[in-house]
Amino acid sequence: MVNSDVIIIGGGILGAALAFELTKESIGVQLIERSSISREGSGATAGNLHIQAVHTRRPGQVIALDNVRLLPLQIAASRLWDVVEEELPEDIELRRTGGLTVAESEPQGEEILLKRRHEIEAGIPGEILASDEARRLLPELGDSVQLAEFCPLDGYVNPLKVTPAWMRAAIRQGLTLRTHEEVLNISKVGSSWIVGTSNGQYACSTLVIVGGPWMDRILSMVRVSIRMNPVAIQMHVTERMAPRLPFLVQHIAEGMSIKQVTAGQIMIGGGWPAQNLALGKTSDVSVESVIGNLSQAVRILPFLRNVRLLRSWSGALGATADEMPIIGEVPGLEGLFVAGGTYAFTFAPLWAKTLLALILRRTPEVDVSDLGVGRLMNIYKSKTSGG
Amino acid sequence: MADELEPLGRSSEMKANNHVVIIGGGPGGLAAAKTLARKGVSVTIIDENPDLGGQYYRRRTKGTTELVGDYRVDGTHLISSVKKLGCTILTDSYVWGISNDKRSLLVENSLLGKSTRVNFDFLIVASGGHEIQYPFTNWQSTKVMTPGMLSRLVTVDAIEPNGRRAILVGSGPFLLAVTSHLIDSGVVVDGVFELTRPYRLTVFSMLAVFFPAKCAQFLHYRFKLFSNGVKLTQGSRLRSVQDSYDGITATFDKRSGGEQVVVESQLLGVGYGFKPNSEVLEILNVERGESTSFGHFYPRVDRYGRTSQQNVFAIGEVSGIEGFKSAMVGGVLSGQRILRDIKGVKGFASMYVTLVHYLRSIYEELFAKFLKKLYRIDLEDFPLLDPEVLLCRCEGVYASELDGVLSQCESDMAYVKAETRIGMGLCQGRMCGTALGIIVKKKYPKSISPGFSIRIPFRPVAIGSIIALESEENRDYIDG
Ligand SMILES: Cc1cc2nc3c(=O)[nH]c(=O)nc-3n(C[C@H](O)[C@H](O)[C@H](O)COP(=O)(O)OP(=O)(O)OC[C@H]3O[C@@H](n4cnc5c(N)ncnc54)[C@H](O)[C@@H]3O)c2cc1C
Ligand SMILES: Cc1cc2nc3c(=O)[nH]c(=O)nc-3n(C[C@H](O)[C@H](O)[C@H](O)COP(=O)(O)OP(=O)(O)OC[C@H]3O[C@@H](n4cnc5c(N)ncnc54)[C@H](O)[C@@H]3O)c2cc1C
Repeated sequence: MVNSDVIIIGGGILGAALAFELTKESIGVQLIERSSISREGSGATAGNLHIQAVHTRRPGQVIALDNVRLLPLQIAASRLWDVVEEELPEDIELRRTGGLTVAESEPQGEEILLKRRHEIEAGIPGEILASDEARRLLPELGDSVQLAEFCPLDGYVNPLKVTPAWMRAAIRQGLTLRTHEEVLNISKVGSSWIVGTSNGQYACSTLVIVGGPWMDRILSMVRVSIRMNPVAIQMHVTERMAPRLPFLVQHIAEGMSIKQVTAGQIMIGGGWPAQNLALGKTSDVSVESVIGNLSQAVRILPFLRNVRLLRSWSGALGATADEMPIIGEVPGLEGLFVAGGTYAFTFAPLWAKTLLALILRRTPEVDVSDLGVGRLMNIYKSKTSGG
Repeated sequence: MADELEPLGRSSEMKANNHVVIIGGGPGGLAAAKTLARKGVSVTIIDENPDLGGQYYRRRTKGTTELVGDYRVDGTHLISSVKKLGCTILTDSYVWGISNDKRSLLVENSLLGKSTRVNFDFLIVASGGHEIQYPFTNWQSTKVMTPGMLSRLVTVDAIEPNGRRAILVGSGPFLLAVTSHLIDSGVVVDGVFELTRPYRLTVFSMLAVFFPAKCAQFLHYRFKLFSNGVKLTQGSRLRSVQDSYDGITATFDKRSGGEQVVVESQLLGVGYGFKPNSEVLEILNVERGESTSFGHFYPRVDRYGRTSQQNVFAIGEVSGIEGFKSAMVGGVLSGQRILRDIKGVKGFASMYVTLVHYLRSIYEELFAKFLKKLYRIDLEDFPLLDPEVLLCRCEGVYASELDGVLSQCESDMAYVKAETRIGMGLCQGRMCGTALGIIVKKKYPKSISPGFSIRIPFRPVAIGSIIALESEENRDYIDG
């Protein structure tokens, strides 16, 4: 049996960021990943850094999230992203050129104004733009745009680069990375957690589960059942083109995010649902979502009409039943921590620092007590009961 | 193909509307269309090219035909009879996806720049294959192409071949056929380089005994090479091509020994057989058949071309059957089978046609199996890539960039893709995907290298064309 202070289950962006923070403090860490790193949500993600208030529903999402609650977390995450690039030796293609959220009707405009008021309270910079001002900033905008907000902090990181970069840096600091090894069972012996995998057994005093949409399955190994609402959502990417779109463009009322990435391709997303959720396999892309997402994109940025779509894909998102993030120690199970939920990409450096503080029994910089596991826990049913 | 396969999927109950859609207007699709349309079944054929014909019966343009005459006249007859039978023909139309309910194809008309849905009750996938390449130093040269492309330029498009010299490289019976067509069109062939070692005396004796007609065809090709002084080299692998002022210099490794062979010419055609255009079948979750050394997707089909999905057929090259004749046999059989499903068995004539083609298909399959053994490519036959080889041409990724990634990928091509950008460009791995599969498989011999996953659109499609599909139902999600 191999011992270490901490074992992390899950090699997505949260696992990598946390491994980096822990090893920086000279804490011994093993990270166990079922397949290759960054192959699930963290590889499929749009990779946006959402700092201005997010829209409250993905297309088809039933329960709205509390976007005002997220604001202080977003500004804290924004500050941390500023230093991520300095800490990592590799280029992660971090761009902080800002983002526009557009409204196409009067009620949508009202919504932007309201959102802006909340952002001001949270100290998030931004500016309301009338339609002509918005078009001066971004001449590509379509006629239907009536009002927009610009936030200079929105951005993008290349997801294919950042998780591997964090992971490599952690390895240099002493991380033991075990890929292609699936966690099958977890038990507690005395004060130690014993993690059984397809390849062996490992012991630690602190166990962190950052398993994305598999969080509930892994938690069921310690007989904890939480309410999750995992979904597969999809992304669309175009052929490369000369720089034309300097900002992230979003819609206040509809799931939509459009940006041009470093390679010149335009990525179009917004949380449109795939046909099904096939965890561990690839969920089938929905044609209706392709059409819906691209139609709104063309309405807001008409030049896209003549750009060719190269590919679409889907990825699984470990949303919780209340669509809010989840982070904290599992009540009643000392030394067992989880983190995940929506916008885990934007929050990655923040959740890493917060988990580090919680593990070291320090007070985290942001208050996350209301985002803990307890609110989602079911009364214990049976060993395998899911969410 | 297996005889003993139970009928895959029950035959459909009588429907008011038994519409058959055929993807691919090659020999297979045409034969199926003719079989069905003759009996009054409503048929739509979809093909991306400006005219029907597929690979084998590719049409000359009007201008070229006026200048140099028709090409493969039997194809002209077949196409015109299909047209006369009143099939709906959608040319310049590419199938790039399939609807969520899997009952309609998403088809882009490239002339109109618009996509539409084409509904089907029966689907015959006769989409053929495309030639496989394996990278070598400077394969991106404009003087390098596939044998099919070379042959098409010279024979179909009748581009003046005078003074044109060429080398043919690759593997398969197809290489000799193309060489023969090229010689007939006046191309000087500076050598044919077959990767494997199929041409042995024992092989000919077997051919002569079991497949006399095929043997005659082969001897005809071989004789043409011989009488034109074309040297056929076996067991040699292509290392590099260098551009020179008016041509190329190709360098080959000998498989067994060290000495290199250097050949000068003007053009080089290289291809290692065909990869099936199996996108539609894969998206439909059709069951896979036997795996092949390249790990390509071939569907499991019975002798009528029925796949594991009800009312979905796969025939011709896409089902792993090579040659235009076999494709046509498959077309007739799938057509007969659908007729039976729609109308029940009617008449002796129809049973007779089915029987004859059934027997023919058994014969062709035996021959195909023989060929597969004969030209069996071991992954060992392909050299490891030199670091300076441009592996992914769209994204500009060199073989050297695989260092480190390959040893960590555990045969997961998606991981290699994410780390290196190989296959992320315009062709979406169509050109380099097979090669990367080979490289991965050389490293992990036990893996079943699955290739890149298929996603819509199968090929780049303008966003404006896609959203032409928008209809009222799509607005459900939008609450703004
Ligand atoms: C298409 C899409 C677009 C998105 N866009 C954005 C965006 O623009 N901005 C944003 O902030 N967020 C976005 N998100 C959300 C965000 O990207 C994800 O929530 C985040 O990447 C999740 O990271 P993670 O590390 O928590 O989980 P994951 O990336 O899901 O990683 C979990 C890992 O755990 C492993 N695992 C699971 N079970 C086991 C086991 N038993 N043993 C070992 N390993 C196991 C899995 O293999 C996986 O690698 C998007 C998500 C998707 C799918
Ligand atoms: C240069 C050359 C010479 C050959 N010589 C010989 C020979 O001498 N003897 C012999 O027996 N065989 C020969 N072959 C092989 C022969 O051409 C094939 O075996 C035969 O054409 C296969 O027929 P098919 O109907 O299965 O497919 P194909 O003829 O390949 O037809 C498929 C058609 O479908 C179209 N298509 C594919 N996907 C889509 C899509 N998604 N949407 C719309 N359209 C689509 C393709 O463009 C193509 O037109 C040769 C091939 C080539 C390239």
